[in-house]
Amino acid sequence: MNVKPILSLKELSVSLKIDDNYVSVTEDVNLDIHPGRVMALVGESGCGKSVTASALLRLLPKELVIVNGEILFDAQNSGTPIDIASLSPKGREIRNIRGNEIAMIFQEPMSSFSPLHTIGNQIEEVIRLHKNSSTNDARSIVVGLLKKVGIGNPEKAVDRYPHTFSGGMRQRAMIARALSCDPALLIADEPTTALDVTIQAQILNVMKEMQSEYGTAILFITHNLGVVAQMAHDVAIMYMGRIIERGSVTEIMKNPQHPYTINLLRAVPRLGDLEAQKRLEPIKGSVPSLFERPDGCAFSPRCEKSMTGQCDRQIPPQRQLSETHFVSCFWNSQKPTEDYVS
Amino acid sequence: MIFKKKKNEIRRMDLASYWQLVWWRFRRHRMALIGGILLGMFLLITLFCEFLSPYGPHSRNTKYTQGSLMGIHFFDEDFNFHLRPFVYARVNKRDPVTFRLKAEVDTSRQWPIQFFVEGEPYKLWGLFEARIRLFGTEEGFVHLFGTDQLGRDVFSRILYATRTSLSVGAIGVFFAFVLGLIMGGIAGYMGGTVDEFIMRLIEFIRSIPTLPLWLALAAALPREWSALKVYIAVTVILACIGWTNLARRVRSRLLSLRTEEFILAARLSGCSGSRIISRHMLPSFLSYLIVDLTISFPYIILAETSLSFLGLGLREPIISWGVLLFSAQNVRSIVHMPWLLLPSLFVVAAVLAFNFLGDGLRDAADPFAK
Amino acid sequence: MLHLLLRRIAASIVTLTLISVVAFFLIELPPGDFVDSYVSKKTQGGDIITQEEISEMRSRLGLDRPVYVRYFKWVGNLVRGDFGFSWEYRRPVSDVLAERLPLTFILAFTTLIFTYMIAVPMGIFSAVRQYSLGDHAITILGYVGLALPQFVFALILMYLGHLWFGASVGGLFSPEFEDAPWSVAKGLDMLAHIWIPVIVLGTAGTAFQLRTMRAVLLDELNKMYVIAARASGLSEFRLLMKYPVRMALNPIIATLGWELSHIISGAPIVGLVLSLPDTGPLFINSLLNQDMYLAGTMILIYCALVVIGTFLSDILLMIMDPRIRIGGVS
Repeated sequence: MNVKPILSLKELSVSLKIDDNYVSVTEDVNLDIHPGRVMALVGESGCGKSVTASALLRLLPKELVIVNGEILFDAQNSGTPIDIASLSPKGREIRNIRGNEIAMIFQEPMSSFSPLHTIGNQIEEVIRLHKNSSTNDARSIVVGLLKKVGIGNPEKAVDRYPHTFSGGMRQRAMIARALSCDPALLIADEPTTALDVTIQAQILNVMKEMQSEYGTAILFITHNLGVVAQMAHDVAIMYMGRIIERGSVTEIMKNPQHPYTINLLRAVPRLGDLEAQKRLEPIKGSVPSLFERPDGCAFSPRCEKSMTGQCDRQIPPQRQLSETHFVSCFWNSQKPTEDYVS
Repeated sequence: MIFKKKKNEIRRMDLASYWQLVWWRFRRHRMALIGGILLGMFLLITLFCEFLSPYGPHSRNTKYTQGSLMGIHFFDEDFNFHLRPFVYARVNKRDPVTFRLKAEVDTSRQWPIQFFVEGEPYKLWGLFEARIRLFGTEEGFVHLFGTDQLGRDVFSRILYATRTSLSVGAIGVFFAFVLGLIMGGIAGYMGGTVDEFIMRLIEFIRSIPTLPLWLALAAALPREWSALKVYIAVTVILACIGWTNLARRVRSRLLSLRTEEFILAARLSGCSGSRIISRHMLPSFLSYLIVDLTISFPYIILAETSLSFLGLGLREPIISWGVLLFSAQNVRSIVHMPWLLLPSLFVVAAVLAFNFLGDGLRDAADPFAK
Repeated sequence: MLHLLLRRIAASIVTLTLISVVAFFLIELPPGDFVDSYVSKKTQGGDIITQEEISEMRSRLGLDRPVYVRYFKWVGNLVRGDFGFSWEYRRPVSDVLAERLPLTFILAFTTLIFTYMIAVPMGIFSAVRQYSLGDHAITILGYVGLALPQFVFALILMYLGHLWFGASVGGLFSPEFEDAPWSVAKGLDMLAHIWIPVIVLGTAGTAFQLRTMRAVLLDELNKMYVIAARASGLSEFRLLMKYPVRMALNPIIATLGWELSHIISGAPIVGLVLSLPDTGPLFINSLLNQDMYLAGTMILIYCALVVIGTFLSDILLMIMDPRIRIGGVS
């Protein structure tokens, strides 16, 4: 891939600060997001994927600090990226990026809008903030956006309050708000987790349509591998704050190299399992707490392939398998494993 | 290193019992601990005010009326250290202009303070005759907080008043608590129309400005009633208006407990009714009630003080903080005897202590939060 | 909206009716009636009054009628603006109140405004700068403000005023304006005096509202919609004012009636200590002398004030919160 990435994380590390002590939450996260592509960041809850997302917009709460690394953002593909990690989290520069060049969709549509202001007001606000348009213009843009994301009767919906919207409608409105300034990158932090399955599918469709229409790059954060197969071009797998494997969706799904990825894919139920009388294989053990991070590879205590003396001592370096496929593991399977996607 | 410690802490938290957790959380509140210690001291005063005070509450020292504070000294004028603290002697001199007797400090003579001295006889808790008091002087007198118009020792009177004020608070809170428990319990248990009616009643009572209502009720008490009768009546009046808050809390707690999932879980796992009540409902209910009780105290204390201050509540010979402050009603007497305002310090300290303690307890009562 | 409004009005009227019953109950509560005290005063003065004269007086005043008849008569008179007769002042209650009531209104509403003007900004500051030095200072102030009885506060201010200025800080007017008719100068003079009672009356309420504001705002600051708004590039100040502060104002507005009740509750005692020419001292005196028509009427007026305050706060809340105004759609 020769196009320059629009966003590139270089060894990003975020720590939890307790008094004067630091506990790692994410370590050395490397990630490239290319224009117009969807990158899925996958991991169990608490693995640091949401923290990474918040760090990108410098929205971390006070206790979480970026201790190392760069967040290189290059919206115009100019070759001179801005390092977001070096900006002040309350300054003008980051505010010009937020909502304008990088927008974000959150997990809980029910509480992502203020109940005291109309939907229209809250979307218009973003447009007027970044685009210098008049109130009337902003309003008609909002009506258009609401129509695009599939909200019926958008002229009326503009003046409605969030509590009269259903969860699915609110998430649509949230997408409208995120796309209102035509951002170069959209961060979607588990946008469908809180919704019913049928609504989930609708929302994913809306996102896909919008993605193809606007050509926005998306960082899609999820723990749902089914959604990944449906949405993503590229995948990064995260475990205890580290990206342990990344590559194109085919590479990860067809040829996973890290034991954790393999296990993760095995734990997904599939049609046909029932006839074949296959049982789901859960990953043994559970994720340790942040305070009990194992030495060496964090996954080694739960890993079947773990090699004593190596995996529990050293952090495995990143190996490159193809132009896009990277894995951090000492175990080297080489042979293509079975097909994990039916 | 620090992580190891944190790790142990996390382990410990997992294994601790409910009350252990409550205690750990409470201990972290420095203010609440201070409040608790202060209240402990108040309790001691309440129990042993006869022993702790050097004089009886009504005995008059005619040689030292309207006398100012008497400081305790360890060093005399020449900076000599005395192991036994002393107060300087007071002598009465006639003012050359007004010809009125006025007490003056005589630094040439010292009245050493004795501990466990024989003083005026008293009856501890009205039962045991005794003469021993914590401190006093063999010659002269000691009035730490000065004396009032009639020469009564303000310090001793405040200690006795502490007993009255706190007991009014305790009895008032108890009555209010019983009332609140019954009304809130009925509302929460019966639900429906009864609940609706009781809630409306509470809303109505709460919409009336409390102090004027208290005042009006207290004013309606017959003037010829004895001080003791008034004392009881005032407590009941305070309780009659103070119960609403408690009743509301009891009700809402009952309602939410009934639908709480851990109760359902306990029921589903086959716990008997009595076990659910004693092991699951009571602990979380009890801690809430204790918090509510603590927070109710200051209201009753403040109300009693206000009533008595206006002369509508308790009155001599029963003395409470409010009764003592009654004599500080006009500016002239405060300007002459600012120490008459000292009881208010005790009021503030008591209210603060209860509030601190209540806040700490409220936090601790829910040890699983956060 | 209209439906809700009508319901509120109806509820207010019911409350007022109930309060009138309570007030009448208080009037009737002291043992003996006016005739008894009149007779005992007269006989002490050496007059002889026969039993017939007494019962004649009773029936003339309607005191021999059953309670409910007297209640309805009293209420009927109330509606016509006749509040009864103050035995203490030997004038109709309405006359006694007319000159002092406006001052009570002014005092109560000034205090209410003062309370919110101080509590809201301080609460915002305290929440935004949580655990800062200023926050700790405000928290301690809040605790003390709640613990200090109002009359003690008033006494201390009087004492300090005497020490520092050598003059009495009581009253609402300088001596030269005390009996003067209302004028601009008198109004200004009142403004120069009113701040002491306002501070005394308002401190506890300020402390309470400040704590509410801080707690609610701290809650709101971590809500999703705040982070969502921040993620769309709003500046911190605009964000704070538009969203969480607006949200945190709701519980503050909802307690407006309660706050007014609190202020009115403290007014008599503070009025007495600071010797204000408002209804406070009047009320306490009427109670001490068991001048119950005056006392009952004043309780009624105090309660009516609170009912009006609650009503206003309900309306304000409806305007501020669309969830109440429009209601939920399932």
